[in-house]
Amino acid sequence: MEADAAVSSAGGSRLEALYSRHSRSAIRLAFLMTGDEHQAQDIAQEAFAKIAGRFADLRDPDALPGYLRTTVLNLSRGHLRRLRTQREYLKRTPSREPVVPDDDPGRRDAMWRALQRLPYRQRAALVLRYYEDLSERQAADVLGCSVSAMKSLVTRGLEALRAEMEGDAR
Amino acid sequence: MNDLESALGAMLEDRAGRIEPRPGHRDATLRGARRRRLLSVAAAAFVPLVVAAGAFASIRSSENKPAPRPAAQEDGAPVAYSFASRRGDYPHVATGTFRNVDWQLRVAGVNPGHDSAVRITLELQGPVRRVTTTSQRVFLGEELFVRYEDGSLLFDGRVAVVFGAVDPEAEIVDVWTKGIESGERTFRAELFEGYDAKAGVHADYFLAFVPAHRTGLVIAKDGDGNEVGAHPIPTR
Repeated sequence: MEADAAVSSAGGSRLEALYSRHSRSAIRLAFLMTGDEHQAQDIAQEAFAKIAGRFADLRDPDALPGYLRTTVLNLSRGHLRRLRTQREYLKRTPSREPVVPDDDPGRRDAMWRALQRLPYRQRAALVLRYYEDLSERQAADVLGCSVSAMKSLVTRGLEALRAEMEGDAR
Repeated sequence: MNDLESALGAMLEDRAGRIEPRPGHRDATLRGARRRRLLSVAAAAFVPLVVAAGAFASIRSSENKPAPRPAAQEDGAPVAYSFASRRGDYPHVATGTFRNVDWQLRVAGVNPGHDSAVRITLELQGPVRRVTTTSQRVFLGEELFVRYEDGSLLFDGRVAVVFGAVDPEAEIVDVWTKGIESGERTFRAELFEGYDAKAGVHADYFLAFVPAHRTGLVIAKDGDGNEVGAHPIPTR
């Protein structure tokens, strides 16, 4: 019983330390993937809960940040899938509200909108490379693909981003 | 790095830099994470089983509605633990038969007039034995209450029954089990909804037949598959 309590307490303090060190980056990563701040907060919360359940199975504590990053990406993908389903439903349902165009002229805003329109894996590749600053090898590991596939995702993502922004500018 | 890549990096930094954890995020996150961890530890521990005994007799609702349907399908591949059920009128929740054993689930208000809690009773009647298991009080507001009936004397020690009450927000109740040799398996419990008005307790009821002698968790989910409650399969 005392041993259990000790393990639990150790796990708890480890969790607090993990939260202190990585919560902000987890929320921000989820935000960049979903474009929704509230959803990002929830995703980070859920990711920490899932990670907590794996404590007992982890041999290498240094692997926790990696697990957290992967979990955030997976949860973001789940959120985007649900969103896609909702959008498809709304497309079939005629809207009575007028569509208000987003007329923000800023280049960063245009790029942000373009990023949100990219396919999930391309967006994840760009965020991992240019925000998380991971190497091609590290980013490939997170997405579970080869380095050449990662290069291809980044190249296609940048091309699509450029095309989207040019389309926005016209 | 070209202009587009530099601009992309700057834009991502700018957007992400505006996001901070909302007030209360830390406490809510750590609370949820600790709870998940406790469940994980409980699920990993061995759950000793207690053998039940009894005589026999059966109570069947004469007002059962003829709505049998299969349940407890195992990861989409039904068979071994499927069963048919008939809904009953309060206080009878449902009855059915599983491997020549009749079962009945019923509820009873504990505080008539106040309607603050119920007891849930499972009766199993085999060819020569009957087993009756009654829960402790299930109070209004509990998100998940789980009971376990070993059923060894009725099913050759191979089958157990997991049943209980769940918050009506849940639309799915899964029973996840882990055996030393057989590995992990998940069974979908049959969910009996719509009894809360008559029972005076805001709850639905569930039941599943699962392999005996396993550690496990009962997991309640909403319609989107989000977990709304989880509970280790309890010892008696």
